Amino acid sequence: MKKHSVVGKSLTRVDGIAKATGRAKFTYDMELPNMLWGRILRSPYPHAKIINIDTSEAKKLPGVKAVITAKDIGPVRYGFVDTPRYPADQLVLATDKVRYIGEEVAAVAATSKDIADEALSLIKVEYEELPAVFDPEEAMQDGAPEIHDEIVPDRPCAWEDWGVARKARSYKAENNICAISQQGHGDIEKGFKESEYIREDKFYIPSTSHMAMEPHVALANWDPSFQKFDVWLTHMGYEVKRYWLARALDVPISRVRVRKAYVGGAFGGKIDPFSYEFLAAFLSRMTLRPVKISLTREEVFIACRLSHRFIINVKTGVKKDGTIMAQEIKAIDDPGAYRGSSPVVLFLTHGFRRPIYNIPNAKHEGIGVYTNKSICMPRRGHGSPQMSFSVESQLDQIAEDLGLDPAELRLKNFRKKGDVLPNGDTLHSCGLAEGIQKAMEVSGWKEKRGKGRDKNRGIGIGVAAMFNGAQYYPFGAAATMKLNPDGTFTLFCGAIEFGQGSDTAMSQIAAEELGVGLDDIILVSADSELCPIDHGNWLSGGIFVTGEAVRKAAVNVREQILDFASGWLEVKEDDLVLKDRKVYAKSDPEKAMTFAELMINSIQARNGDPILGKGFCKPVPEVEFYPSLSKGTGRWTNAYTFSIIIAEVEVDKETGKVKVLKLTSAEDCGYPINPLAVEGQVESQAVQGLGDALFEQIIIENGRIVNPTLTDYKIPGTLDIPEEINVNHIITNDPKGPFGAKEVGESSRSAAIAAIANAVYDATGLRIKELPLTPERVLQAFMDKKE
Amino acid sequence: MNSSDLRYLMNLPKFEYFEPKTIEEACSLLHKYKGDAMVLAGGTDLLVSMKKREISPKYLVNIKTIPDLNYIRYNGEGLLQIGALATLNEIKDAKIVKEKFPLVAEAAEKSGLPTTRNVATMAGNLCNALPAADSAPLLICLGAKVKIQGVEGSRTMLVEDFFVDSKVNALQNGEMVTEIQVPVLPDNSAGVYLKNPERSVTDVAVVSVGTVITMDAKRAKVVDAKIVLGATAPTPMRAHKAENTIKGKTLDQELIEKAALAASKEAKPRTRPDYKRELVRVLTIRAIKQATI
Repeated sequence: MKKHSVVGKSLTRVDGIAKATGRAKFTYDMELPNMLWGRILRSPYPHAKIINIDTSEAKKLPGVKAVITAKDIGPVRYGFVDTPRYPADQLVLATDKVRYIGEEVAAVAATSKDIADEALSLIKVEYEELPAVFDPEEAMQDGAPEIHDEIVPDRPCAWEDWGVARKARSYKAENNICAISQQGHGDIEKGFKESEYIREDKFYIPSTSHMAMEPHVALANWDPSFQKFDVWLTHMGYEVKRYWLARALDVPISRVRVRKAYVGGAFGGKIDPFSYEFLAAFLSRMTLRPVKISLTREEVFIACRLSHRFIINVKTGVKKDGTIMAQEIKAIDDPGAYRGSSPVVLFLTHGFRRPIYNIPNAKHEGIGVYTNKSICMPRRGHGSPQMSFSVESQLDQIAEDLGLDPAELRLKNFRKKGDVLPNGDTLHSCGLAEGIQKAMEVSGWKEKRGKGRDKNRGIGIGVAAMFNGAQYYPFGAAATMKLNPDGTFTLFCGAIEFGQGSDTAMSQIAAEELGVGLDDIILVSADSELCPIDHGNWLSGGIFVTGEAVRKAAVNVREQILDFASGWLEVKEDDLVLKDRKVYAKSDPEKAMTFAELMINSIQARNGDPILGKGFCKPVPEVEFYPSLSKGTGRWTNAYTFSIIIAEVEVDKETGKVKVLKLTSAEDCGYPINPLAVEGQVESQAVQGLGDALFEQIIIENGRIVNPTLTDYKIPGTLDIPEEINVNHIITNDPKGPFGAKEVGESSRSAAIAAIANAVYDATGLRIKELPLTPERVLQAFMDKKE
Repeated sequence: MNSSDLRYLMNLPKFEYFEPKTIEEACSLLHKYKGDAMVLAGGTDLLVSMKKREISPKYLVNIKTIPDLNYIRYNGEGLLQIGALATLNEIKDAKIVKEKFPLVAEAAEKSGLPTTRNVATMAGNLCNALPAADSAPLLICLGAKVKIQGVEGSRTMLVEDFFVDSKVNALQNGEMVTEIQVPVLPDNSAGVYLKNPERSVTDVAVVSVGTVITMDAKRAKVVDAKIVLGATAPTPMRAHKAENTIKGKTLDQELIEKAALAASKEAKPRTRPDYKRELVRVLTIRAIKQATI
């Protein structure tokens, strides 16, 4: 294999100094001259009619510059999902009724935050309470409160705007059902008939919050002279944001610029369009002043989306030797008062599991049900954590029931390189077998499993997989590059840095192709006006899609350099080497020119051509537009990442407390562009997974989130994190990824949750089927067992 | 729902502010403004609650301007005196406390986070009167008192009696705590404070247990025992039945478990009762054992 000089190296982050010294500006930090502060009035009821809103007193308060209700803007709909079948169901401001506690009812812009807050208290809203429903299984029953009337789209849906021929239809939620997904392959009945052991279990997974350090914030500035919005957001990709801003504000998409700012963490929680973003823009256009709406942590918990609540029934049939014959899943998703990403997560809970085990007969039924609760959206893994916990717990139990080693059972059923999945996706790379063997060896699996129960210690394993971007608009990305007069390059790419190391990885990819150092790449990223189209960094398409576009842009520049230098130096192209901002002949290094000279001469000799390059990439380009979300058929992605985590725990049997002692990971990200960054991604997921497994849950009582603070919503503290998190790189060199790389951002979290739950079983013999494994729940399980 | 429901840290609400120079002046201000005035010392609880608009006192009396209220001293006659302004970290690190009152050091060290302890006072921790106040159980076990100054003179009161209800202390109008007084530990005595937060350290305790046990000279029998439960009732509470179970007896596993069971029955948790009672039982067993090693 070719030796690389920039990629594959643990180079220091390009944004490291800016962040470490506090100079990096986040949207939360930003202020503009003459700026106003916006605040939002939210519903105190889970389900109520709005009879009247009186804003007169609020408008009189000195310092208040605008008050906005649905009357001012009408019923402006938006939604993460806006397809012919599922029209967008959310509203920028509630019109006739509110459907969850925290829903946006009105907003104000004032000269200070405190005045804005005082103005909110002067807005009088008259509500008439309606019966509410909080349990998805109740919400599905006949006679349950109806949360939505028929939604009739008043314009083409997003998918139509993005080229799908089918027209938007209206949607009537029968029995509050907001999404259905039915997938499968093989013959499920035959599969169970051929099974020698069948097990069925039901699992419960609560909502969690994304816990990005920077709370949600928008700063919008309407420029009346250019009829254009400048918007700073904390987000994960500008194409979706500006599409919805343009649509909601009814301006051409070219009149919305989403600007570059650093983002303080995202984890899926910032991909949805949000009311506060639209409201900042509406208020700015009303007042002709910049308006900033920065949410509190409590508002983030209540109104900035949660991970999906799930009830998952898993039935699996196996041969006595552990060969999986059939698996049937029935999943109920409770996305809350609006659809959120329910149709997507229902598909993905299956889609992310499909590449792991070769299950010949599978059936997967998912149903999404409206309830009067906060809305759910992706969180790092989008459905994978919920399904991994369920399926991996059950597989572990099946191994236990049959007297098999759980790791060996997995190894027996793993898919391998070259496998074609039921939907037609091919595993061009797959490090599952190598990964599990490595993780078993490094963790001492064989010596430890089943041998620590007298010491309250246990070891467990979890496996997960992840797409690398998807066959889905706007999942395409492009990059452009220019040669600078000093021989450096400026790279324009839309990928957004939110802590994952995107800026560094993109710079490394470009530098490698051009034979220059990291410092020679000047990066302009995440500005919708300067950068070409980019899907953003979600569904883990960052490296595999945008990274490949960047690589191709650099190759394009490289080809132009070679073409020109070959003629100028009179050397054959294949004899030329690019190194240290120079191009020279291998056979005669004296024949050389610097990139700076090359640019000047190119302009002179080629009618002003300064060397500009472009590259682009789209997943599964051979398939036009959309596969089916509800049937899961059709191609989805070009590569899958695989994660294996082995956890070791110690359980205090008297207090129910679980201490994670060690986490061992084997991560197949294809090829690590920056090994240190890959380790950082895996470690952060391992720690998040630890939180999911042991602490994190949104507690909702009668529709009210009762723990919307960092005091009451528990995440791992430093002392909860094991000293040793061992990351092992499984290098599989995916043929389609840039330098063989795949994603690394999303699947270890799922593996960690399952691994910890399985380790708790190994230590205690307790199979707890509801997350998180709080001390109370573990202790209760012990007491139940004693009885 | 407005911002106050969302507990957004706003700017402080408007209030009138005083910097008394003497205890008498402070007391007369508190007396004058009755329930509308509050004492500001460390401020770690008060100011945050005000920013969240949970409370909005009209008057704040900053006692940090009163000289000579920040002290930690031994009076030579068996009493540790802690001034109202002594912070938890100052108490934890004081030489006399470490040497002669290790359980007071433990009570201070196990309260809150290091950063909070740099500012928060032990007197403030008691005055807030939270059921989970970390410094209370050991102080109660030790028979500590608070010295209370009012407009008409001063009085002392057991810390045990100072807690009246959740967030309610025994101070009358015009009164403030000026000092905590801790008697020296009797011979052959030891104690411990165990708290059980859900995570490793940083949480408020779900349940806590403080114990001080005095043995006879031969270390054969329990002469005296104090067991105090935190976060299991509106106030920190003595587990009298548990104490009586072991008093005068020779400890063995069976007796310890019996005492622990008594403690768990005495506890009055308002939430999650089964879980908290079981934790009281487990922590009481551990506390008695650790206090008698």
